[in-house]
Amino acid sequence: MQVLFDQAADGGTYLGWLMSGLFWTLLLWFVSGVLAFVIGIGVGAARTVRHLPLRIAARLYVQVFRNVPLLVQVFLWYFVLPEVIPTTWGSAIKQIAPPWASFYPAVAGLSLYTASRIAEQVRAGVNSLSDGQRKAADALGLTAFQTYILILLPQALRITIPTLTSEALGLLKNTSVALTIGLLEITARAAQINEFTFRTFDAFASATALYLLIALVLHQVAFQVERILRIPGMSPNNTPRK
Amino acid sequence: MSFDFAAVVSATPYLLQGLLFSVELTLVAMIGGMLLGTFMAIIRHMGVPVAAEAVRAYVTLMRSIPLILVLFWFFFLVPLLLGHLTPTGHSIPLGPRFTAFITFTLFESAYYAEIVRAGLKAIDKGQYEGAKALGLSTSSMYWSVVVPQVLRATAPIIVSQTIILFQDTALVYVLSLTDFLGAAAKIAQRDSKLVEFYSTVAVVYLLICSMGSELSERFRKKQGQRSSNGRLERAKRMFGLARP
Amino acid sequence: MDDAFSTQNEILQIEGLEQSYGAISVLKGIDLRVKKGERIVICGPSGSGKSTLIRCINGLETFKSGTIHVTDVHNGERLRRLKDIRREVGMVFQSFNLFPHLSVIENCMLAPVKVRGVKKTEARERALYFLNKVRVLDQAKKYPGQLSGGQQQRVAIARALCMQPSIMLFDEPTSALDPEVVQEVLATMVGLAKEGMTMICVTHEMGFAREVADRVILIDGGKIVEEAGPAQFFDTPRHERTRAFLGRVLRGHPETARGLAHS
Repeated sequence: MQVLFDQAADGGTYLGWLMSGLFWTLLLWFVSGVLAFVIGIGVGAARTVRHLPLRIAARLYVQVFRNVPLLVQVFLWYFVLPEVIPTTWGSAIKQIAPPWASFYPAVAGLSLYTASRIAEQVRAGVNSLSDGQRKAADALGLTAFQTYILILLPQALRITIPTLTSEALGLLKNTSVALTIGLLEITARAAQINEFTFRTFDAFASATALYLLIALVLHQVAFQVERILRIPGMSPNNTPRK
Repeated sequence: MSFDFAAVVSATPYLLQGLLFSVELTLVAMIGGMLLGTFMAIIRHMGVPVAAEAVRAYVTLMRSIPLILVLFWFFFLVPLLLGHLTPTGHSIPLGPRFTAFITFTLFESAYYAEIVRAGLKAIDKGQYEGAKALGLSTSSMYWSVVVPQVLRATAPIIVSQTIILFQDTALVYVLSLTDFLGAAAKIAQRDSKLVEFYSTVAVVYLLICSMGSELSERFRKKQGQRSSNGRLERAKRMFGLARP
Repeated sequence: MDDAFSTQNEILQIEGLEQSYGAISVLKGIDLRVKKGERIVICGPSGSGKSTLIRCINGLETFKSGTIHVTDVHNGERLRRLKDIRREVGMVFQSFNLFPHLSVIENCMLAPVKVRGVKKTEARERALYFLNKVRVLDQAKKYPGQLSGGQQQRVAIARALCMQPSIMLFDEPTSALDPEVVQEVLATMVGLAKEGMTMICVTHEMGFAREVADRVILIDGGKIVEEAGPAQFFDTPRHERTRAFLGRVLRGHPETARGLAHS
């Protein structure tokens, strides 16, 4: 792994390149993750409401964003969007300097794709709650919105935390797709280091190590979150103990 | 803003060739991945010393790193490794297509292995005992009794996983391989018709994957009618979606 | 020692059997000898180790110390390998454990073909014969999920019989059945006993024990508390714990009490 500390073409070290890649991976992961979470909850909840048009719209969203490969979606945001919107906006987008020019489309693609997957988990979570929850909320006079925010979603989210963890891990891995539109995240940097130093094993091993490390931290955080959110008196899969 | 979709139509033969490769890659990786994955899942389920740990490490590794990175690993390293094995010591150029077949098979096997393993665990313990009590050998037990039940029960999840696999084949773009997306990209870039080609690709994927999902749903509904094993039902619910 | 075996016609010999799970001792030294053709009923409170005992016989459970010897009925030799033992010892489970993806007849044909190397045609005939014997022949083409509990258990008995075992083990065969169908399964088992099958049954069905058993054994706390012929066991039990157990069983199962009273 000595190679990491060698001088690179731009004056810094290869380790520096890798760290820069790490920065972009984490930033992309975090921003896309937050957006995906919010959008996903919204769409997932929308799939379970009584209002039919909303349910259909949400169903369509999930159909579309889950069934087109992530790479193709990212290409659409990066290459196609600027061309199909009004010319003034399109030109404005094309003016954005890299790496942000690659960053924003990547965020768009990753967050909307991941949101469609999270929506399905949330939908499953809400549907698994007993019907009585909704009925009780109705009886108490809560509006639909209040019912979701105060009663259904808090429970549904606790149920889906384990799958949300695996979605977060999936999002981390998917950030590598951004390299195809020029974002220099971890994998892109590793490939670069390989090109310049021909130390293939070192380059890709470092990238692998970084991903494994982040995944490890993620699992730890998820474990703590699950612990904090546990409701007293509920059995592990959040059904009331008999 | 005028878009020339006629160009897409005239490029159809070339695009179909690319699509063919995508489908080929998916099928090879699914069949190979299921065979290898089932084998690994059984090893882990039986708890074979050393081998079970090796499988566990392998599956965890493959499921923790991006597919693109795995593609790079194999693309660059497999020829080198094979070179070490041959007398001459020179690296054997494998060609990107063959590398892609191997890489996807090995990568997907980790995911199929987890699906099958959950299925094996969810099978009622009594099935294993009934088979053993009858004197069936271990291989007969798995082949005739356990695995058929697991495959039936996990079919919907396996189909979902295969749809994800089909989408993932688009990533061979990073190896400059001509799959469906690659073919479209080549022409689109040559003729500067990015919008037409990429949106076509998106629509075609949408159609194919939607149909695949429909199939999976039908499977799921049929399962619900036939399944008689409660624990298997719970495993299926746990696996609402195949993988991240 | 083997001479003693064949002259006494013993086909199962258990000595000093001990088994524990972690710190909990489940079997604390069991001695049991079973002759060819004998019918043994084992009963006892739950957690007494009776299920563990018979599952040790065909190797579904391992044990910490002691010996279990199964003798081949045909040539008098001790069976050493587990697969040989399982060939000669059939088992019927509380939860039937039929293979749901195979039809009834396929369930019965599987083991003879794969384990005894029987040809498919012969296995099929054998299966039809035994299915007829347990009176579910008309269900042969159906799948287990389509059958009632009582029918499934009878298929399970036929499946075990198709291997032509010399010993049949029954692990609470009627405990998971609705009361209405318990009798049809017990009747099948009685029929088997009458034909001279060596049987070891773990069961709560005292009426069955009274009718069929050569010996009734009470296991409590991992040890054999009482071992006697049915008349002595039910009418004049020697041990306090036996009396207590019988009292509990009869209070809980009035139909059993009626069965005992009538026999």
